[in-house]
Amino acid sequence: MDDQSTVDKVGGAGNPVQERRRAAVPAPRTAEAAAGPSPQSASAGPPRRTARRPRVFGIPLRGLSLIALVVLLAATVAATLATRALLRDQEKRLLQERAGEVGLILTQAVSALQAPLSALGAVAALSHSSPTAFATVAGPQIQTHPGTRALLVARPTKNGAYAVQVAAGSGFAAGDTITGARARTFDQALQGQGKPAATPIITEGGQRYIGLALGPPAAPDGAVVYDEIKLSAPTTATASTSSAPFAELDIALYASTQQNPRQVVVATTDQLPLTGQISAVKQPIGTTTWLLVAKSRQPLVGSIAASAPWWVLGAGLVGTILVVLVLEMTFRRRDFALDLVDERTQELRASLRQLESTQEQLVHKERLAAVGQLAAAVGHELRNPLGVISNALYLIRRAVPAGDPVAERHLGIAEREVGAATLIVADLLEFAKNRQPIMTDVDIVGLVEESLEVAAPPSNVSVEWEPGPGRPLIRADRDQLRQVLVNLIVNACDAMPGGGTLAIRLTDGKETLHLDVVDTGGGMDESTRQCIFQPFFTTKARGVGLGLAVSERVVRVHGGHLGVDSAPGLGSTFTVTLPHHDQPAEGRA
Amino acid sequence: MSAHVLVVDDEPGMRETLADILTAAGYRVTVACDGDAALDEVTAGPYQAVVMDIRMPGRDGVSTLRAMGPPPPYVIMMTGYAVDEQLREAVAAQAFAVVHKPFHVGHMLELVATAVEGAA
Repeated sequence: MDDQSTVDKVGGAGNPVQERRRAAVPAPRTAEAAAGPSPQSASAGPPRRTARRPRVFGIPLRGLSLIALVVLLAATVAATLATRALLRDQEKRLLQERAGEVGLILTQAVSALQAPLSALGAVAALSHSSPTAFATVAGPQIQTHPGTRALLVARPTKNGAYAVQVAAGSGFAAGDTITGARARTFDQALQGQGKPAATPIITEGGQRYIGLALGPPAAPDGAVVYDEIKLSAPTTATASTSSAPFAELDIALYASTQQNPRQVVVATTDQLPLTGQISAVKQPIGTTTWLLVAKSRQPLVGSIAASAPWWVLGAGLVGTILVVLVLEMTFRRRDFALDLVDERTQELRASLRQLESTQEQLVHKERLAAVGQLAAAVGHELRNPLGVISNALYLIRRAVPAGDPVAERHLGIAEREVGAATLIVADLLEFAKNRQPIMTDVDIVGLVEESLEVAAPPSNVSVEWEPGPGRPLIRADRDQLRQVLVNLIVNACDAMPGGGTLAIRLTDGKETLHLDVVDTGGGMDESTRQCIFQPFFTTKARGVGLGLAVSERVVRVHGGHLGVDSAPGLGSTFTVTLPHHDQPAEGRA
Repeated sequence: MSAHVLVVDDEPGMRETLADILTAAGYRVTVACDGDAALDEVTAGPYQAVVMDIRMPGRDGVSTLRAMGPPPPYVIMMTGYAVDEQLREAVAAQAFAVVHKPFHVGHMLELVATAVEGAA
């Protein structure tokens, strides 16, 4: 029976009304229980996201943050290097520009030198190297340019040497022979086709000289005109902060194609040769090639710009850290939030499950209560027709001739069945309503005899009724007590389907009254015996299983006790114990 | 002169069978279908015993019982489906006995006999 099993599961013992009350009480506790275990379940919940994470310097980072870190660092380094390269490039170009300007100035200076020399040469040519004419022009020139050592015209002689035709200044006189570097320069000038040629630095007597030679057409045919200048100490250091032009450069002019320390024409520093970031430009002096080397003393781009790469690096690093931090924080918060959501979702699910289960239970109990009430109502309704049938059977028995076997048999059947129906209804109603007893003085002996009549044992059961002496009275609800007795008798007979003996013994004590109902049936094992008084428990194929539960409760409410003694194969003895003095009703059982 | 018993029940089946049982037992039986009719009968009287159903339409058994007294005659209350409250009220209103349907006929006859004896 479905209802039976489900009610057993719910553990409902007692009438539906009480069930509802009892159901209401545990509900808050189960709701609490739903809230209770959830923190524990959360801590043992899904693995936190921070658990699986690569670590940088021991700090867990997410993959994306790691990538961002690497990318940004690389970008920073690249930017720094690019900035440096850019600056270097810029610096180089600026240096070249400035060096170019210096070169230009040098070229102009040479041109400036070349002009008077050409004029001198023209005079010499026209005057056929007349010394007086030469001196007339050369003299003022020497005075105008005090650095000039000598001005002369020379012609090649044998063996590559040259003879001075005319001279002005010091160091040379007409007729002198010139050899060596000067002579080589003269050769160059003669082949120069009008372009001058410069000597290397010539050191004589502790003094440095340098000269410029010019051949025809500026000079007489086959001759060179030559201007020699005294050179001061090579280095004229200028402070880098002075407002002189090119103060920001270290410049060195070499009368050679390489940084030859003996050929330094002029330099603004003595840290020679210039190395590192230099601009080395070959300066043509006519047909000679000199080398102009320049180097910046300070960053030409400016010190602030020069430190740009460091700023880029710094900014890049700071930016990288910031971005990674922000990323990390964002992810962390998201993970935290997600973890929280997971946690709450789990808690919610658990609560929902609890709620569903509780609701199911409540609905079930409500249904049971409703069914119980319906059953009670139906039971009530049945009592009237059963009463009428019972009366009618009595009247039929009276009308029928006594001893008529057919009538006797069928009347007996009808009476028994009405009795059975009455018992079912009575048990159901008593279980459902748990009626408070109405105490009267009950003749227990008469009640037993009435019960035996109502629940007439079958013919194969012999009845032993030992009322004992006297007719004791007991304070009880007569109808309820009769229900108990009828239930016990019916049970005993049901235990002896093949027949047996039903013994009822009444023992009246001073304080209590004992009634034993004994059968010689199969008996019960321990587990059955323990369940026998539970509602809806039955070992029979038919029957609701309420009879003994109701009987036990009725006896208990009367202040007494219903117990059973049984063993397999030895039958059962049910004992009703009732107090003699009127027990105050101990409330609802 | 045999004792006069009043049977009060709105259900014809119960009313008629009980009346037949009591008549067969030798009593003079009058039936009433509801509380008001019962009151009229009792006033007209005299009755040695009354067997009355508790649940009846209109005036119910307990109210009728109260109206019959005080003190009421010997009234045996019958009930198929009375609530506890009504039973207590019946007892409080001095019903002679309260019997549940279906009742044991022998027991009912005993009660009526005792009531009639008491009324005499």
